[in-house]
Amino acid sequence: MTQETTVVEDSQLETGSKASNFLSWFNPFSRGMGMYAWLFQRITGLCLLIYVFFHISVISLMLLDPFLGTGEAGRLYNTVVHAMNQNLFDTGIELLNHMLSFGFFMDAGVMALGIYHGANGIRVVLFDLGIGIRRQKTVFWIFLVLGVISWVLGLLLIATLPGIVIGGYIGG
Amino acid sequence: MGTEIFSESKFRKFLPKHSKKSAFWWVLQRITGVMLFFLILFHMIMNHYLSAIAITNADFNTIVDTYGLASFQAVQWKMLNFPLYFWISILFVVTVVFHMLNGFRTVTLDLAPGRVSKRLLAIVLLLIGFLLVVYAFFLNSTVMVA
Repeated sequence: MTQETTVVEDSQLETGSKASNFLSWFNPFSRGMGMYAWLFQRITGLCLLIYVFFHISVISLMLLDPFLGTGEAGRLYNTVVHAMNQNLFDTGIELLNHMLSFGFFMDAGVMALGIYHGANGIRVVLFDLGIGIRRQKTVFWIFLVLGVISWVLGLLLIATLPGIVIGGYIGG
Repeated sequence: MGTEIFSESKFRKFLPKHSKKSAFWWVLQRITGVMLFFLILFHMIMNHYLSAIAITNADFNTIVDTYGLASFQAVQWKMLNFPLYFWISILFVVTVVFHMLNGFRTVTLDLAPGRVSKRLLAIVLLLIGFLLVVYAFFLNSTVMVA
């Protein structure tokens, strides 16, 4: 006869997630932060899975001109990328115009997904190594704030850095 | 697989307590995750910083954008001027494909599939992954030569 043990985790006690408490299933605040961290990890993971296939299909346009042998290599790819780099409407400010393109929106979205997935992934690995396990919520919010900061910095770099580099080369 | 090897070492912490066989894939998921952190950093630097240098240094006949997504010529310039770029790209593709397909497999495991469908899905995902890596190899080498 096997000995059965009921293991109740601290997080379960904390959130009060019992089947008998049926109505609390529909209360978004009845669940702990860790459950939402896990849920968003999964959602961002699946979104990134879809993005990788989209990315590969766009990159595949590079093959078409060399493969068909129609004149200049990569003309079709450049046309599509140029269209994606165009600003959707003119604001009069160059930085904003760079930011208002389809390519920039895609980059911003995929960076947000990737940064969340990566930051939360590192947090989970740290917990498995036993680092910061007693301060789960604090570590989560620290990682989220760091993620948002790096996202904003990344977006600014993407929008301005090529201009800075080219400006430096032309000026010097 | 491999629980005995790690039993005495620090790596014991990486392994779940009540699992023996599937721990192998789980550990690989962690390792590829950490690898991806650095590979994506490299990828972003290559595609946004170095493509700008490519545009300024190389003499292109076509008009290319000086900001935003990298043009065909910029990608080709990077590949020809950084010999390791090709192999790091292949490593990147292998890591990404493994991580995403194994991640998808873990999501489906939560639906509690039967033994046959689990095995069948694993074979299909392995096939997709293999085809993607071969395709990436073909794509990279064609772009480099074109």
